[in-house]
Amino acid sequence: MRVLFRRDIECQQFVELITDYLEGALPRGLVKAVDRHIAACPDCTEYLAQMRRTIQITGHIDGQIKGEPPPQPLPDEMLDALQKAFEEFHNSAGA
Amino acid sequence: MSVPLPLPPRPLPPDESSFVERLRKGDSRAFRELVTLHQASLIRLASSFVPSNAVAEEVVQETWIAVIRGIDKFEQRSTLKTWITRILVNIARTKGVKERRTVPMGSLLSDTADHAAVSPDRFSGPPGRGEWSQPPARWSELPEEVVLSGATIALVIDTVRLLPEQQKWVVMLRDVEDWSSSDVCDALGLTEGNQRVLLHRGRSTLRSMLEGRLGVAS
Repeated sequence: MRVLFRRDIECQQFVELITDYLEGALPRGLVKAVDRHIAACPDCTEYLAQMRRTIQITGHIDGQIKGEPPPQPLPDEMLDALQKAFEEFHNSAGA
Repeated sequence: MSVPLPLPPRPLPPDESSFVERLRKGDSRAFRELVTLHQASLIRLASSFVPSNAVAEEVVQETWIAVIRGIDKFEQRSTLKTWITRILVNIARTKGVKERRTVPMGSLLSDTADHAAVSPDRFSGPPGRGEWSQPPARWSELPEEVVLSGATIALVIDTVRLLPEQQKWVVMLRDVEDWSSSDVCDALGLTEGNQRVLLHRGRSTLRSMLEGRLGVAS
């Protein structure tokens, strides 16, 4: 089956085109070539699934630093202090 | 360790130009709203670029002060969100450079390293046009609790923190904060093409690190 698509793209090219493919940034002809390759290549189908998985897992991180608890929501006193800075700046700029 | 929940949507204020007008007129309720809306995302971003939560909080604090001082000059060529993030990026970059002098935690993954998404050793055939000789494992057969385990998430957090800086900003904004590519280009001053190259390198590195944990060969 694969041999039919030899003139299209190969696995090693696919792994470099994958982001442009997922981003919808490939020219139409190349999209078709990628689609044909994936349809014929179970390993690249798996690679595509892995990349989607990777994006999904990355969406679950929250920037926390190892060994430290995740950042807490802004405490009220910080919010009050920022609001005060805002008001002071505005009053002095308007004065 | 538990799996963090997906991030809640962060809608922009519906009518941004009237919102900006309120800020310019000194409406402190609007400013509180703005801080509350963006604080969590700014802290998350800053935390990935500096060595501690304390420094991240400083970066965000300085960002808000810069927003207060600069809102009159904000020309609304971009959204408030991308403008504020651009300020944060600049402050975090300056801080990151300062901190790295004392904390040797700069990127281990060089920006000039070999950029192949997958090592050429894993293909056979003509160079650059090889077929898999060591194909990817079937992650789809792994139980969900392994794929999304705390250890997996921790590995991704560590890897993101070690990405070269530009890749890290792009990955954080696109895949963690779920921004559109045009907003990312706007905030970071990148072309669409450059943004995609950075995203590709970042995501490929993450996939390859995950492969070490979730299995290499089928």
